Amino acid sequence: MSNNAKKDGAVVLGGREFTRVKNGLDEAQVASFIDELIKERDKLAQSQDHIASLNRLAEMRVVEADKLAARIKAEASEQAKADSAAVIDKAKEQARQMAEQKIAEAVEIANENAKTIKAKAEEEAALLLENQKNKIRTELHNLVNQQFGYMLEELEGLKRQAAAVQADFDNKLSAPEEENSAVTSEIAEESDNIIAKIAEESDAAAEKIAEESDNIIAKIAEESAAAAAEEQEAVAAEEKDTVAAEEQDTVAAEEKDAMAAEEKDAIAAEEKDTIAAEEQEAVAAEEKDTIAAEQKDTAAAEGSNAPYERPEPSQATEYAEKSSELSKLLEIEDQPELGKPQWEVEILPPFDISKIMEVVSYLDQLPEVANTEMIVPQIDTPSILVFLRGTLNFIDVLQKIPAVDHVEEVTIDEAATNGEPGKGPRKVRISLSGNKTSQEK
Amino acid sequence: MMSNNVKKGGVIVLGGREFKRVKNGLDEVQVASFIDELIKERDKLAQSQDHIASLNRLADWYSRHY
Repeated sequence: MSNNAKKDGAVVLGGREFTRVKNGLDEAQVASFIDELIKERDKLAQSQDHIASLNRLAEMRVVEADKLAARIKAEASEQAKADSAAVIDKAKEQARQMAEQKIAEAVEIANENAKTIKAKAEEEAALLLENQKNKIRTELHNLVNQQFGYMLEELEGLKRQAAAVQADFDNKLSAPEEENSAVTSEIAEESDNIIAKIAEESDAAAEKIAEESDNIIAKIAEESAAAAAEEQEAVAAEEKDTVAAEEQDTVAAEEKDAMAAEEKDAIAAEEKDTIAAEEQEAVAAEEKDTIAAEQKDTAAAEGSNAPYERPEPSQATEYAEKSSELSKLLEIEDQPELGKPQWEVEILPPFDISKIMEVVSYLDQLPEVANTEMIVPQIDTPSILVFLRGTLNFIDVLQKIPAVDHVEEVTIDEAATNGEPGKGPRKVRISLSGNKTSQEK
Repeated sequence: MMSNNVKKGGVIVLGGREFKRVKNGLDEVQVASFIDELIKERDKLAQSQDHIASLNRLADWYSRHY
């Protein structure tokens, strides 16, 4: 410490001014002590300043630490949110995959169940269809037999009428000659009436059979449709998933197409039968008119040429021949059962009842044919049993029938007849002509 | 006011330090006053430093226990 000595004897120590006195303190000692005290004070003050700066630094660090803690907290929160979102997404993806897997398994199981149910329904439908088919076959067989019974009864009645006419004719032949012309015309008229009646009854029977066949076919179609609808409903009730619904739609479409095809076939068969009946009626009417005209012409010519005269010997002979032929025919038809049939004519589809009746009528009018019988052993193959009274080239005869398109003899296996080839009837298959009429053929 | 201890032989004690009297020396009253101020400032700073030291010890203890 420097001492600043002033002029009047004063001394400055540590910035303080001291005066000199007569018996005062030693300046050197005082200066040394004051210097030590000042050094200690400055050192403590410096230390205090250092501590203050440390405090400020600590405060700054605390503030920074607070900010850092807040930033770390925010980052941790964001990281936690991101981690939680990732965990949630991962869990969702796993759940989605599990759900898809479960759905696929469920769909597969449902498909298998649908296939099983569909197969079962198809089996039941086939069984039901077969049962209905058998039922209809039986009904059709009974109906055809019944119709043939009716026709036979009608024929019996006609035979009785013809016998009465024959008896009347015989009686009138033995009557006076004046009545011959009148009797002739009466016989011709009655013959026309009988022919017309036979034609009408045949047409009526054919139409009735065709109509009932159509009704039966329609009934089969309706019952099949109802059965299919029931099966479809059952399948629809059991198959509740979408895939099964698609398969059900497919099955329904197929069944609908089948039903439409059946209905279309039924309508076509009905139209075909109608056209054939109309054509048959037209042909029968034409033939009837032709016969009636010829007979009338003959009667008129006879009446104009020889009125009130006895018929010529040739005419009498003709009447007698006709009478004898009629009697012969009637006698033949009155004959009892001739035993087993010689031929079985199997008719192949498509069927036309008018053409079948045409074949039967053609065979019945042959003198070598004793009798015919219509049987329906199977619903798809009606057959005609032919009883012959003499030898006949039956195949050639069948080929001459206009309604027959194709004739094929079936070789019967001898094993089926136990090695007795002549035991059963010979069998022949025919197919009817298509839409071609007899005139066209 | 610091007390002055006068010893034998003309020696005086100020602030715990002995000073001898000399002819044409410094004024005792002024020197004693100045030394007293300096000692007070030193003691005050020392007391503050002791207070800070005790706070540091307390902080150390708190950080160790909590």
